Amino acid sequence: MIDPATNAGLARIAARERDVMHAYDPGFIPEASDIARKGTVVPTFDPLGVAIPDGAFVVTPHADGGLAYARDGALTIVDGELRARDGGAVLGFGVGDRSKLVPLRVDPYDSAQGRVANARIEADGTFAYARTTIDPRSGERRAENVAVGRIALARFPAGTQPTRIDAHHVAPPAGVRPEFGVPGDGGFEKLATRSRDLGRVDIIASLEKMREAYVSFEALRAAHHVRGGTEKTAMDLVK
Amino acid sequence: MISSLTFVAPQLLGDGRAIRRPAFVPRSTLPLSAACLVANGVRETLSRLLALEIDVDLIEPSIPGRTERRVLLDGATILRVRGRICDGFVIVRPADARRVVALAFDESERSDRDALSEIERATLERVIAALVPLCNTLCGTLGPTTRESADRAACDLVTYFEVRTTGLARLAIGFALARDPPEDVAERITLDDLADVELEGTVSLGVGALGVPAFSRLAVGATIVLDTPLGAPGMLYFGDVTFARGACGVVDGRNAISFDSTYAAAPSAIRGAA
Repeated sequence: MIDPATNAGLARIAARERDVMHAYDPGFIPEASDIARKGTVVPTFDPLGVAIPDGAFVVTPHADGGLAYARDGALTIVDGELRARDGGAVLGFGVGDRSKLVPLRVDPYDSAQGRVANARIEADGTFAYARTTIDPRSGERRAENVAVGRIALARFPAGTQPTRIDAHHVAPPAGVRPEFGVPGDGGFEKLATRSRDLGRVDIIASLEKMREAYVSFEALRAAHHVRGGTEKTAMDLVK
Repeated sequence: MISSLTFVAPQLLGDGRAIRRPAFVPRSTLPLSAACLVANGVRETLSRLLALEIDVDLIEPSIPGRTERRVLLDGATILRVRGRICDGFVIVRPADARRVVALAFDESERSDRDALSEIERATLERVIAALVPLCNTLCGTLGPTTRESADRAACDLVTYFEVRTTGLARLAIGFALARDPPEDVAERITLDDLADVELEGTVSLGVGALGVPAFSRLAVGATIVLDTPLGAPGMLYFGDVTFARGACGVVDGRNAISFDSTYAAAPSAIRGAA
């Protein structure tokens, strides 16, 4: 049987290891808050890849029926719907409607006819694609720009420590209402398009913290060993 | 069946890279001109029936898969017309049907909560029926028209294209065929097919350069000495293509160029010409 102190020491090591393992995972929410660093944004060729501004989150539905907040901007289209890398729908505002958050979906009829091209996310959060049509009078092809909607961003009041749901999602603490908006509007910065956030875990600091966790565990183990030896000696004397 | 090479939407890999995989997508052989004819017919018919200035765009013919066919036809009002070549379909989806009715009755919008009344349904049927004769271009001589279920149409439909109105009154009218037109593969062109074509050739005997001052002094009686030495081979051109080199001379009182082994043909140029 492992005593609770040893168990806690092992759990600390495991948590630190997980943080190290995901140091370069975009959007990863570390388990410990003492290893954060400023994000590094690098360009990519992915038109659906964006870097989320500091302090902001994209909004996705949560399994409990509420909302979850993520920072991974590596988005993709699955079944015509804009989704985060974990498969969750990315919520936003439909064109001309800022009243409710909705999943952003390309026109299903355009999709069924294979007419969705050049899907991209623009700096103001607009999820758009090009639809090729033909002018029947001239036979000329033209690309029509179709805006599906704008990605919603959320932020928590200053000083709020969000609750970690899993490796990529957080939720606001009870009683805290996040503020919603769109990039480049209402105080939210614009998105960095065709970009990727390299993650916000300081690898050096996280390795150092993991080493400290190991050292701490070794010290704990040594203390246990000494205590065990002392108890054995006492028992021998009693006998 | 003709397939087009295309690249699917970017898919994210585990390491954060996105890759667009190649895919071969079946391409309809329905001539675009036929679809354009139908689209122009839709514009004229709807403009006449709805008393509106309407312009249309054509969504290129495609061969949708089973899932896509279901999406396109779900809940739609479909008329099937027998044709000499194949059956044709005219498809109006529910939202578009409501818009047709709204436009016919000069309303701005028709709520999707209320079912269409009998007179509205009759109006819709008549508008769609008026579009059926346009299938003549696609299906040949037309036979009787029947109402078709979405499930049955989804099974029989092969080629699909859509005509969409532009501007404020946005509608989409789908047209489909039960068979993609067969590919007519023409015979290979032979030299005999080109026997009547004449190619104009030019022989260059010599070349030289002239400065602008000398050029400006050119007048009748002036003599220009070329850079090409006497007896140098001439160059034969067809259009912009250098075809061959050869000895220039006179045959039967007419200028001539002769290709022989002394003056090798310009091989790269000939390859280019071929």
